[in-house]
Amino acid sequence: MAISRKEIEHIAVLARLDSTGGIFDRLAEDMQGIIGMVDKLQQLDLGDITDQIDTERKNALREDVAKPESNPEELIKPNAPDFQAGGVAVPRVVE
Amino acid sequence: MKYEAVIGLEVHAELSTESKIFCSCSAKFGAGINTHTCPVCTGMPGSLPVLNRQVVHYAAKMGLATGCTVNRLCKSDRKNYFYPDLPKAYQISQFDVPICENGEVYFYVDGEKKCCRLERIHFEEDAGKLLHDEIDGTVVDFNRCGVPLIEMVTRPDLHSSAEAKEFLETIKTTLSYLDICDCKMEEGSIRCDVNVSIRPEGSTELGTRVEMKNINTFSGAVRAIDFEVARQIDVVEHGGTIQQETRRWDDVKLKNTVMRTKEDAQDYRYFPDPDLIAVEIDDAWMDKIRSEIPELPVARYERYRNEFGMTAMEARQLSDSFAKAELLDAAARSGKVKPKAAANWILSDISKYLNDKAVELEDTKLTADKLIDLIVLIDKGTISGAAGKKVLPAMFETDETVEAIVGRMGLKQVSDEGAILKIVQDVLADNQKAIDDYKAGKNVTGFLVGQCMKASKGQGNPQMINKLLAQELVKLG
Repeated sequence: MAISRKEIEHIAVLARLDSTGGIFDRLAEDMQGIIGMVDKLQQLDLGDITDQIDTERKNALREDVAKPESNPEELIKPNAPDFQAGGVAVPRVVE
Repeated sequence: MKYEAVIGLEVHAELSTESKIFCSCSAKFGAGINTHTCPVCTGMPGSLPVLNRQVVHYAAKMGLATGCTVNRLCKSDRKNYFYPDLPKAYQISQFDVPICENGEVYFYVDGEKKCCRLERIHFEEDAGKLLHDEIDGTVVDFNRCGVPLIEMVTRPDLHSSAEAKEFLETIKTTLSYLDICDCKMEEGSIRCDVNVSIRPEGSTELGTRVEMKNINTFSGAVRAIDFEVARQIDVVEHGGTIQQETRRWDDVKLKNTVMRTKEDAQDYRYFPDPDLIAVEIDDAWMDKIRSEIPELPVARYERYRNEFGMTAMEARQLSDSFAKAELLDAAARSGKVKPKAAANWILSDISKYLNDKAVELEDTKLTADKLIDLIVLIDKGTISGAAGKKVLPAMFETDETVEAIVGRMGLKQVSDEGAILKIVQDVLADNQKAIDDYKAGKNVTGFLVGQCMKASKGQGNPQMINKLLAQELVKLG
């Protein structure tokens, strides 16, 4: 299955990516490669397997017990490009 | 032309678990910014989600309570979208095999029983919160990321804002009966999106639907639906066509505006989450969940109407609150009091006390046994109804028995005929003017009963005072 330039542009918009730069042509090529791989998977002969769910392993569940509060200075701050007021600061979001 | 509105709802309810859906962070509301976070719920590379057993339990419980088929096997899927409140850039939800499917919710609108079908119920994680008032910009608080939700999706079976409101109220009381959601609307525990279309009355085709988001209250849903139905009729009447789009409801300006058109509709690219394996609810687990479901609000409402002979409003007020309904039913089951008497106490003085003090029944010390004792004491004539009202506050606030409270407050009614007769005779002796008025044909009974009650310090049995007073007055001729 070939992916059209238009579809790629649509996904770029959803992913908030600027599709005008030169790097975009290379990304489009990569994406085509990934889709080609999935196409190949589709050709596999699965015999009579029709299950929607893999049931070989199931029910890895945890009990409902909460752990104590965490410190955002330790977890969030080192991982945020901009940390303010205890949280990750981002440009003003108004949808 | 006359139009019919066709409405479907997507209702999100936060489950009242201790911890989040895929990690052990607390799921409680109102903590300091980002203090309920860990590598899992902030989407750090290499972290792995593990599903909370209680989420499966609660979601299945809601499914059984709404007549759904609960799937023995279900799985988790990734829903991809980009937004700052979603650090993984995907939400773990359920796509093609949700935990529950094909339910039915019954409710009453103006005395008429209606049904709205549920297409599905699935579990998923909530997103974080964007705070706009902290800095000049936006701060992301991930505390809500991973708080468990169930999403209930209806079929387009609702046809007015009134029906939508009653449906939502029924969902809310059901969640509260099942004790799986705290139902605090002001904290966003229940939220809904509304899908609205219109069609000529009598038509069975579905029109183009518009989705509305940002609806935080049930009354807001009513306003949003009424606005959108009127807007669509206006568009069609003026020769226009309805565009498939998502609109944002503004409950202050009371109008909606376009948020997304069909062209930039999200493409969520769902796929099975490879980090999570299948969930199986076996028979033993399913039986356990089923055994925890109490008689539900609509069933109680109908029983109160049919068996207890209550009015629609009484039955509704009692069945709306699980605690009140349980109190009533325990009193009725005892066989010691009339259900109607217990209902009257609950609807009047008990409800008034709870409202005045802004407390929940279950947080007070009032029990069904105490309520039964109170009503029995009144029925036996040990205390008057008025004295009963004085006893009530202590029944909420202390562990004392009703008898003990009555004794302590000196409210025991005097029903000794000799003692009452003495009081009546003394009052008559002190009120010659009333006797003269009586002889002149004036009605002085009320005044004299009042005097007798006063003389007995409010403890005289009013029926007996009435009876003996009438007797004595007759003697005076």
